[in-house]
Amino acid sequence: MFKSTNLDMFTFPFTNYKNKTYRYSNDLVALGEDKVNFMKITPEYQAQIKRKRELLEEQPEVRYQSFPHTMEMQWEFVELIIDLAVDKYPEHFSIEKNGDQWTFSNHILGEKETFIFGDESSISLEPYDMIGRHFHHDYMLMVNRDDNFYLEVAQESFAALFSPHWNLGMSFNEIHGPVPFVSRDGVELTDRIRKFLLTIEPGAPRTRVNWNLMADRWDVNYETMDIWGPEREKVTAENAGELVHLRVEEQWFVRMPRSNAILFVLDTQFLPLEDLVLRPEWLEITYFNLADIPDYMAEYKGMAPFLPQSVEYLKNLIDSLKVK
Amino acid sequence: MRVYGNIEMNVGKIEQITESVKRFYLYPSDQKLLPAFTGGAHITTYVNQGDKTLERDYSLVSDPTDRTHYSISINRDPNSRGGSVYWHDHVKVGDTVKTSFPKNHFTLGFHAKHHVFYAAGIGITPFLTMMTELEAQGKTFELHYAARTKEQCAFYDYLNEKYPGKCTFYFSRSDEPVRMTPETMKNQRIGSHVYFCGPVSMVTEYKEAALSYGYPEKSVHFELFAAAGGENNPFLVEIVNSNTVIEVSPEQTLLEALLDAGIEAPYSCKAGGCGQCEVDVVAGEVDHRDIFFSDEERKQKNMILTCCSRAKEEKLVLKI
Repeated sequence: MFKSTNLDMFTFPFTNYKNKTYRYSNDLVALGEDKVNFMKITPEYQAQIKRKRELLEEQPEVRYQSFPHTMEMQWEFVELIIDLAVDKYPEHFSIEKNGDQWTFSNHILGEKETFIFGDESSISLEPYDMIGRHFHHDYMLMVNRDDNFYLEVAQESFAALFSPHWNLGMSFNEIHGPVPFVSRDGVELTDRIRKFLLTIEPGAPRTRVNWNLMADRWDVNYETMDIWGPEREKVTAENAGELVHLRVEEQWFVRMPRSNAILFVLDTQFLPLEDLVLRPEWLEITYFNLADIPDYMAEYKGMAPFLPQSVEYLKNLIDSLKVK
Repeated sequence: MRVYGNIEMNVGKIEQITESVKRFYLYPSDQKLLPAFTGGAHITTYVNQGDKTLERDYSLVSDPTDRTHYSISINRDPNSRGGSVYWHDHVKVGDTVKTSFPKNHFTLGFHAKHHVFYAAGIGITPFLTMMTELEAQGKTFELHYAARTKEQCAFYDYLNEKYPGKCTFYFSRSDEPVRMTPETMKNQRIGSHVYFCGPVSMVTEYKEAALSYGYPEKSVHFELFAAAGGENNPFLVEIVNSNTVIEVSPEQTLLEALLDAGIEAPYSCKAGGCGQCEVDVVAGEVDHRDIFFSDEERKQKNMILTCCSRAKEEKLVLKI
């Protein structure tokens, strides 16, 4: 388990909900030019990459899946990822292009990837899998066919009830079938958001922030539920501060012009509840929001077995700070 | 790789293709590679005309994988809104224009076993890149292309040379006039997808014919030049969630009125063909002028495509 140590780089999820507590909504917003580059190297970069690669080694089929017709799409992804990384962090990443002969250098890890761009036989992993292992994000390619999006390539290591193995080939509506996706005024959101995603054009990416709570885990998928399912029961109002983490997913939606797909990028960050004291305003807003989570949402997000303990922990923490 | 905003382009070359069609070659001012695109894609172009900016969509006709430049082919149409006339009469080699990234609302059907294209006039443009893609992938297709005469048929020589045996031409004003008809769709194998591009009347006729022949809706694809006409009445629009009332004049579309009032209404093609400007209707009757929604869909839910449809009476109440 890792946690965010540079809180200036932690995307606190509830800032927009000061007066209103959290409910599902179509909350995708347009990005300013300065926010488009989703590369973010935090103090936890090396720990995250190490764990991501371990998960990919341990369960390769669960963590990475693709369809054979996606190779050209994968190369478009490789080019995007390298360009964004080199553009934002030229001190950490560099690329040498000699015609189609490319050498990507990761100076943080002291690694080089040499390959012939567009020729997957020049590398041992698939292109998407190869470059994805240098960055801590999860990457999903949702390809637009007819009027829906289908998951055709995915690499993932911070699952929240999702896996490439389970979800490959599913449409946006199928993937979101289990989500109790209803807005404050009772509107069913899945299909509305599918339509909204269709309006995302190349050159105009969008973003949103999703959140969850996790009990001593950074990753829950259907394939390992026998392990993490029972663990959720060990949370008490006393140990919740240490065990329960506020999990934040900063998400980007980038329409890829050649693939006609939406690249869905997730940057997942964790903060144990006890660290909320470092930002007292976050502590109160978090308590306020968690105390108001409806049962159906707690159930779907998988936090139902430890939500009451977490809320009680936060309440006690706030009270103890007031006494001082 | 570019990810954001619009692209500044220099007009590098202009070719006269037929008497009324010009092809414009656009090169990125920063000389960096452009995004590759998919067959059927278009760009939105922004050209300054005095203090106004003309915003027009044109299909790309350059090779989808050629990232050094884009090109578009424009038919000079004096009866249109003035974009094509401006491009023809005022845009010169060396000028700077802005374009969007390539967008595609007219994609090839992924599951098609065979692709059949029907083009009327300048409606040929999106099919050029679709055919390039299919040829590269080794897939089968055929083109039916109607023009007035051989001389006015843009890309006639190119098509004949590149795709021999796959193109059928119909010249309505030649010595022996031949009309293109939807009937040829009846002879296609199951699994064929059909594609139409041309004026509203042509697309409507072919779409209805295809459905009546039993083509599944997902096998029928189309793109329009412009929205259907009709009397443009003035009306009022109330937006419930922002508590505003806006007047829509006869000269404006509902979408234009919304945008002018600073409301972030969604849109894309502005021709009633892509469905992206759909907005929920709370009250009031809609005069539907799009061909995007089926009658069935219109019955099921209350919505309007703001780029072309209007109020039947004095007022509409919308939720945006």
